Amino acid sequence: MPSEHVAKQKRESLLCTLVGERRIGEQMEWRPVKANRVRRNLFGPVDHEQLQQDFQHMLRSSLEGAQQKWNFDFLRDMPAEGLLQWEELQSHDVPAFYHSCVVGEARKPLKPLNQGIVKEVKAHHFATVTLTENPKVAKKMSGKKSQAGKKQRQTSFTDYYSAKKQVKTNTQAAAKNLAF
Amino acid sequence: MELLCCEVDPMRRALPDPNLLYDDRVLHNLLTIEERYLPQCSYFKCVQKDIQPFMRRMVATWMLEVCEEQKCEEEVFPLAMNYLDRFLAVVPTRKCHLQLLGAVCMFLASKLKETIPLTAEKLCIYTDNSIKPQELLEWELVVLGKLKWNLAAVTPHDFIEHILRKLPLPKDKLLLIRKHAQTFIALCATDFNFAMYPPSMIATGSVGAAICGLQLDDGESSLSGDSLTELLAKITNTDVDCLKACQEQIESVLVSNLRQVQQQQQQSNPSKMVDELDQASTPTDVRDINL
Repeated sequence: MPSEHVAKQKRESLLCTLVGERRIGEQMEWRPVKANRVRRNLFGPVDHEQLQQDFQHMLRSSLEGAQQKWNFDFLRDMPAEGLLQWEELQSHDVPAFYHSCVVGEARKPLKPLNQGIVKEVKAHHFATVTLTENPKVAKKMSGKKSQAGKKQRQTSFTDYYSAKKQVKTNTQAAAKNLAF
Repeated sequence: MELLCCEVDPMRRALPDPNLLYDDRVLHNLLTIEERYLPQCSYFKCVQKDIQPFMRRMVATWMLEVCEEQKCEEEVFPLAMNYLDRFLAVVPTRKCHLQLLGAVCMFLASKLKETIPLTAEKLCIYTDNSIKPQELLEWELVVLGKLKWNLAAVTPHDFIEHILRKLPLPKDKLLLIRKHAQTFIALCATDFNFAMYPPSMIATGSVGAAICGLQLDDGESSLSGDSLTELLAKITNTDVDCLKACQEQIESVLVSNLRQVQQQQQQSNPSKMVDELDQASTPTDVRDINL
């Protein structure tokens, strides 16, 4: 098999080959070198609890930042007070690209900023929310919907993604003010 | 009945696109946007308390080895280092989390550039299972947020073809030059001194070092010394002196890396190699080094 010729090539062999080729100006065969253990732990044991704490802290602060920027509460999947007006759309009103989906095993939900209203939910048939151009036409999403009726979802990549995408396509003016 | 078994290269790749490579607008756009993807600051001075330059080199070397063993696309490693540097420029990070960060950056870069990306499980095994796939996935989200989802960073690799096609190079040496330039780019990515350099300069310096190293200047006067540097500098609008300095720096990184490798070899095999080490301690020219 040809792959045997191209034996595992490590940094040292990479350099040796390079220098060798430089001397003779021709391509050489890769020289197999003794197996250096690539699989290794570099900086000692990892404190998993600390890691989890740091993760929660950082994700929380990035969610807070996002919430301020978009006045949208990504944890409860609800608009918050602020400049932008949000309008709820049914998921069949938006292109399939924006539909939420969960691939593989679901992520553990992040603990919300204020403890207590946490609900473990795996459903993902939530309404898609979009920005509208004209605040007068926009239905304001006041407290009409009871929170209990609306399932809380886990944070996922699409939280950030759909919001950004839709601002770009729907409200150019808003996007200019909120340059990221 | 006859059974036919054809070996097919499992990696299907697109052909080089002349519309992208032979159009100077692409090169100009790359030069315009490349600065956006540089780390914000020299973070060892102003951001990091726990992490030191030698630790970056350790994690970078490990990442390069993983990428090589997994036969990743050439761009994956420099791109992953770009993510790592940009993250470290904004987030003070603990030493014991650095390897996780390196794994996350490879995970992201591989997903962006490869048809069959590295899996979280595989990367965790490479950390000797010191991290769990779940942690890798969680930190992926954190890193993405800190990078503002700007993953399509410009890397030195983006410039290689644009530079090569403008040089009067012998066709039969093109593969070799490209490979050497790619090796230099990987070397630069392991060295923090290059982290703040624009990718176009690293690419230009790497191509220069590759051509000089292969001594291709025999017949072609425009490929020798200063005229090559001037030609290269013009292609990527780099300052000639900066480019010269960069190329020299690349050569010296090669030398110090070779010395390191030899020392490691000597440690693992102390009976031989003494002569070679002596020789390597005062190199005048990389081509003189015997391996």
